This record gives sequence, structure tokens and C-alpha cells, in this order.
Amino acid sequence: MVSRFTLTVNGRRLTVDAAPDTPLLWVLRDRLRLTGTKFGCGAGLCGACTVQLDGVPSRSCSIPVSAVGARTVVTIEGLAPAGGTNGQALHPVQAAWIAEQVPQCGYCQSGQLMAAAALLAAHPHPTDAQIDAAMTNICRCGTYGRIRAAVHRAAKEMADRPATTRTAPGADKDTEHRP
Amino acid sequence: MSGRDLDRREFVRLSAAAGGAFLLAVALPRRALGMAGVDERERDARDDAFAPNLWLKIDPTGDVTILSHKSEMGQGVWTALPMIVAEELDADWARVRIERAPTTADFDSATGGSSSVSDSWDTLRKAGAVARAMLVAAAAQHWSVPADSCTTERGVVVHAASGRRASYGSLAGAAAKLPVPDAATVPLKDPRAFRIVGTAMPRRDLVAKVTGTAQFGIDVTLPNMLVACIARCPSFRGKVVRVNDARARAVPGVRQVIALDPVPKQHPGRVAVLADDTWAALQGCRALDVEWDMSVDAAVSTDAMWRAARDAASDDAKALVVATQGGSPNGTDPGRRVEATYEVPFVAHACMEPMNCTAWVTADRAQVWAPTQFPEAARETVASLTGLPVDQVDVHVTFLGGGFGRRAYQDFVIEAADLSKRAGAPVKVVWTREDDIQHDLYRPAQLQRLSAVLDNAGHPVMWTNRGVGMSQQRWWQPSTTKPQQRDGADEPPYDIANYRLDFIEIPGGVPMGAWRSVRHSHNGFCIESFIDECALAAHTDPVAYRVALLDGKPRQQAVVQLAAQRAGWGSPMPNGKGRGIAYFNYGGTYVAQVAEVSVAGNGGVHVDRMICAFDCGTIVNPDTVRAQVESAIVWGLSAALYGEITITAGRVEQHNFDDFRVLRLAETPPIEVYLVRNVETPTGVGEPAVPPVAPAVANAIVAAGGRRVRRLPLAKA
Repeated sequence: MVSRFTLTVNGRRLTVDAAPDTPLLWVLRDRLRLTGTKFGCGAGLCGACTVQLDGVPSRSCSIPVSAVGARTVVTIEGLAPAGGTNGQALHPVQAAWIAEQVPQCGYCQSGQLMAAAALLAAHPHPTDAQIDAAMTNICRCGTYGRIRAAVHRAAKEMADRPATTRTAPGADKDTEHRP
Repeated sequence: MSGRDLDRREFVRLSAAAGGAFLLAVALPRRALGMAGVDERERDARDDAFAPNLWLKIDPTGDVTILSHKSEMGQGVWTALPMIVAEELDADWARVRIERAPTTADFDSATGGSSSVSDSWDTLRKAGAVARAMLVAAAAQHWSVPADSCTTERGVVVHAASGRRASYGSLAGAAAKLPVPDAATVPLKDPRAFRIVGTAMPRRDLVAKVTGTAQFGIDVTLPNMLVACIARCPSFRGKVVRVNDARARAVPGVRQVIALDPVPKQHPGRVAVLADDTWAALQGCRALDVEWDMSVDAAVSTDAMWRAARDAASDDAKALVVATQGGSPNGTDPGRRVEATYEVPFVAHACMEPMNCTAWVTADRAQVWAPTQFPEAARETVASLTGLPVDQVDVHVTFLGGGFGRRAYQDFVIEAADLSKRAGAPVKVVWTREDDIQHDLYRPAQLQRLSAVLDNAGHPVMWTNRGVGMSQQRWWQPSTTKPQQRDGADEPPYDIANYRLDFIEIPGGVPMGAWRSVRHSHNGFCIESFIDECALAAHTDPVAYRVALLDGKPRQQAVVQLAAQRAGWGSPMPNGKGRGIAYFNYGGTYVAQVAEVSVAGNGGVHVDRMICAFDCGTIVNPDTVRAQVESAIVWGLSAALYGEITITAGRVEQHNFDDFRVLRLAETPPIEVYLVRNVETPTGVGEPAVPPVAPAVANAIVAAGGRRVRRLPLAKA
């Protein structure tokens, strides 16, 4: 019942052998060791596991690896622009999260950031109502007010400095196999 | 504090690693938190012990390393505690690196009760000041000038008269050879000269937390590690009767299935599935066929508990007095009597990071990686479970994905160590959200009956507060003779001449524990709702009423007045909207909140705005304090609006975030925080803003024309 799946994760093509019903979350965390994506509820309720599939924020705990198909997966580890190979470059939402000192415990913030980045890609100048509708992830530390402020800050920052190309990081290269 | 107190092994290891660096060990007094679950004998044993534990290191390069000895669970201690050391050291904050203190040293790493800064304040200041004095002495010796003619600034010793300057790094080697002065003789800075403490410093853990690289307990991976997921008996104390694990063992990746007996106070019977990865372990659990015996818990239900509480509430003979003073006041108009009964439910913590722990137990060593608030207790627990001496147990504390009191307990640590020992492999135990909601240690439910007799001015001259509920203390110490725990209701909230505070215990069976602000959370709701009822009965403005009752207490009055003023208290509001105030004293942190709410025609409540004035004495990192107050308000709103755990036959009826609802962004009102700045001794920050939330909202509902809510959560009222 184990099958082989080819995934594009943060710009890299990878193959994994997994049961088809394995949620993408556990493939990312346990197989690919991309532990920035978090397990929170296992039922698509809290958003801690949010990643982007073809740019769409998606709850990876509720998406079987067999359903990912050809869609590109971007996780928190791949959010910063390509070229940020020194680990210093941050996506504008990450920079805004620091400027507003958003995280407390930080556990939900990967998911919050992936949702925020997707929101800004779709709506470069989101209204508060659009933020309300898009930012549905749970934060038990209650950082919501700062999240709202940071989304607005990132929107302004991206409008002021639109030049950086934030294409999906990396072109497809060799396919790596992760047993 | 003295060099002789250094733990030899640590000293040798770190000295060798440091190569000419200046190292200072500081003795931190061990302090037991007044938290349930800590055995009283254990607590006594801790109080008389002193041990070296905190390290400050200055490298010849000038880099300063300060160890943070408390668990970072979002409250910002990772940054705030080193700020205190750096302030008195007069370090260049940009050159300060922060590392997690090892749990191998015998220090008080317990993190809870909003105590990290207040408990460490004096010691950390002295740690920095002593180091600074030694660096100054080294420079003075080198320059042959009196030490008191030298000053320091940002990592440099300065002799102004000669214009000479020496960096701390250049002095580290010489300073390390000097005797450590008696801390009592070393002067501390005038707080008005602070330049690090009191300044909003960016938190040092945030880059890791926005890039996904921060390591939480659940992220720990070891070679050959098995992941364990656990089928738990649905009731609190039930046990396994029979297991058919054939289907579970057939799941690819499943390696072992281990049935576990109940552990008193900690766990019901369980069946653990150990697998190569989490999904296989979860699938294995689902494939188990287990018959449970839950008969021991058949009578445990919240419906029965509320009936028992209501029945017992008038039974004076059963009441255990917590505190009493004076007697019945004479000559008071009996018409001025106010009485009300409130009910506050069980609530779960629901930390975002589900409980987890990784352990590797071998014949001569146990290693544990745990997101824990109480690493020392974890170490002792694992030592006891494995039979290993404590010094053969290492506890590595990761970042905590929320704590809130939940991670002060050892249940998840016990599980990981036990399973690793049995499996003969490194094991990471991962709880599901359902495990977390259904097998928590809940904030106690309680009924409170309050009564007051008002004098002619409308002020209470007689006050009674009776709590009726299961005893949290008894869950942890079944033989306890002191089942009453009434923090926040163990003295009257205001100066009242005559009072009686008591507690009636009803039959238990529900695990209860510390929950952000602990019992203050229900006491805050009951007391501050009731004070509002007294104010209204006295036809007095609720703000003026509280200010009058706080006569002679300027800091307390000031927060009430500040919150009211910032909220525009007294200015007209449209129909259907109202403001409510609540005040709370949490161990010397004074907090007042005003809630603004809208009440719809159908009774639906919307919280429109929260205003908070907060006085915690000296503020170490202002933005962190602000963030903690915001956090506490959201926490309090979740509980006030939605939080309730119900139980039938010992089984929790909620499962996940769909039926245990918490606040989300769209429902979160604007929150304004006003910090009082002074140089008083610092007091707690993380919890004190929780208790006033529910009563401020409840009082606002009345002001908006809604009915008085005397039972939480509001959504079900």
C-alpha cells in the first residue's frame, strides 16, 4: 500500500514513498524534515499546518499526499525569496512579523505567515475585512492584533518596494529521493 | 554568592571551553511555586537548598553570553532575563548572546506563576553588578587608579581623569583571576539610570520563529527514534480490559504495541503504538480494538457536580473557613444586603503545540527533550521512574508551543520515559489534539456565593465569599487536610471590616491544574461581577465605587482611573452599547480593564474594545509586557465567551477546536494597553490581565442593557 510520489517542495523535486493517505503534513515533517510546518489539530481547524499549494493556503494535515499532484508546495522554509541562501533574506511578511514583534510562543506562526503571504499575493492592499476572512488560523497566545498590524505593514512595504522578484523559489532541478 | 559554590564539573567544562574567558556563577535561590502538583514535602526540601546555576561569560572578543534559566513559552523571558543581567553589567546589548541554561545545574528553572522576572530580579541584578565590579577592579588594577574613579559604559571601563578606556573583552582574563566580591557590598544602579531595562528590546527568539527554524519539543528527532501515539481510556481513571492489536501491528511502519496501566493522578490505562513515523503511529492507534473499563468514573459528570454544588452551597456545617475577621456589623439596614451566586466551568488549556516529549532511556543514562515549564521536576520524575540517580538524567528544554500552566505537569514526560525504557529505543510521544482536550488538567469549575451588607454610604461592611467545588488540591494529594485553595479569594478584594471566606468541597474525580492565572480567573469573575452588583445596588458609578473602596492605595486607584479615563468612561454611548470595568490585584500587579460591548436585540454579545491599565512595577521589556497583556486579554475572552469543558461518566465531551472553541482573529476586538511606569519592585506580567476580562465584559453587558451574566461562558449564558 506504499506508493511513490513526486512532489515539488520549495522549488525542489523530491520523491517519497508513503501510504497514499498520509497527510502532506507528515510527509513534510517526518520524511522531508521540514519541521517548520506544525501539527496543531489534525482536522483542518487551527491552521498551524498551513502551507501553500500553487500559492493557495492549504491545511496540510487534511491533504493526503496522493492529492497534491503537480501542485507546487511552499512551506515556511521556502517562503523567503530565492537568493536568500545566506538565511538572512526574509519575505516581507516575515520582516513585518519581526517589526511588529508578533510571535510569542511562535508555534502557530509558520501557518499564520503562509496564510498572510498568500493573502497579500491575492490582495496586495487587504482591507480589515479581507484580513478577517483570510486569517482564520488559531493563536492561543492571542497575537491577532499584531498579526493584523503586520499584514498591513507588509502590504505597505511590498507596495513601496515592489522590485524584488518573488517567483516561486528555484527552478526544478534534479529529483531527490527521500526514502 | 561565591566562586566556591561553583559546581566543579560544570566549572571545569565551561572553563576549558572558554579559553581565557571570564565566567561567573551565581546562586539563584530555589523557590517552589505555589502550584498544585508540587508535593508539599518536596517543596520544603527545595526551599533550603541553594546552588550555583546561572552563567555569565565574557569572551576576550567582547562577546557576552548570558544564560536564560527559565522556559521560553511566549512570555519573552528568553530576552527579558538577560536584559536584567546586561543592565547591571553595563554591557553592550548588541554584543550579548543568549543561551539556554543547562538543567544539569541545580537551579530553580521552574517557570510559572508569573514569577520569572520578579523572582530573579535581585539575583540577576547582582550577577551583573558583581561581574561589572570585577571588570572595573581589573581595569583599576591595570591602570593603578582607584576603582571608584572608573565608570563603565556599554561594555567598556572608562577612567575619565586620564581618558583611558578598556573593553570588557580585554579585561576578561584579568577579571577572571580576581576574587568574587560579596554581592552585598556591590552597589546596584539607580533605576533611573537604566538604559536596557525599560527599553523595548526586540525579542531574540523571533527570527527563528518566523523562519520555521525554532525547535519545539515536537520537532525533536533522534537516530532510530520511534514515534508513539497513544489510545487513551476515554475516562480519567479507567483501565484496559482487553486489546486486540492485530490490525494495528499490520500497519506498515508500526513496530511495537504496548499496553500501559493507569498512573494515579497522571494517566488512565492506555495502549501505545510505536512506529517509524507519526502517521503510522496514528493509523496504528485507529486500528486498535480496545475494551476499556470505565466503571470507576461512572459517577463523574459536570451535571452531577453542579447539582451537588448547588445543594451544598447552603450547608454551613460543611464549610471550611479560609479567612475570617470581625463579625456581623451592628445597626445596618438589612435592606442593604446584596447576594449573588456565580458559576464558572472547567476549561482546557489547548496549547497550540500538543503535548509531547522525547526520551532516550538506557541502562546508565536517561535523556529527555521536553517542552516543559518544570525541568527540575521532569528530571526528578524521570530519575524516579527509571531508578537512575538524578545526575544521570539530562533534561533538554526546547521552546514551548504555549505553556499556560499545562506544561508544569509531568504526564507527557512520564509517558516518553516509560515507553523508551520499555521499547529500548528513543521514543517521541505525540499527543493528538483530542488527547489534549480530553486528558488535560482543567481549570477548576466552581460555584461562588457572595453576599455583602452595605453601610449607609453603600460600601460593604460585611463580605462573605463561599466557593463550592471539587478540590484541585485533593486530586494531587488525596489525603490532604487542606482541600481549599482560594487564591484571590483568600482575603477580601477591598478593605472590608468584617468578612468570612470559606470553601465547601464536593466529590471530585476530575483532574485539575494550573491554568493561566489559576484560581484567580474564576475569582476575578465572581468578585468583580459582584462588586459591580454592589455598586449598582448603592446607586454609585462602578468606577467611583472602586476608587472609593481603594482609598489610601494610590497605585491601585491609579489603574482604575487610568483605564476609565482612556476608555472615555462616562461619555454617552449609543443604545445597546455599554462599558464595564473590573479591577484586580494579582500578587502586587494592579490591573484595571474596561470592556465595551454591544448587546443585540436577541441577547447576542459582541466585544467591541478592551482597554487595560497595568502596573507591574519596574518594567523590564515594555513591548513584551504589552504583548503579554494583549495575550492575557485574548486568553480571557476565549474563556469568557466560549470556554467550557463538560463531562459525562468521566469522559470529556469536547474533542477539538470545533467543539472547544477559542477566539480567532476576526472576533478579537481592538485592545489598548496603558502601562504605568515607575521604579517599584517588579511583579508578575503573564497572568494578571486574565482575571478582569470576564467581569469587565459581564459588567459591560449590564451597562448595555443586557441581563446580568452569572454563569460562564457567555455564549451559553
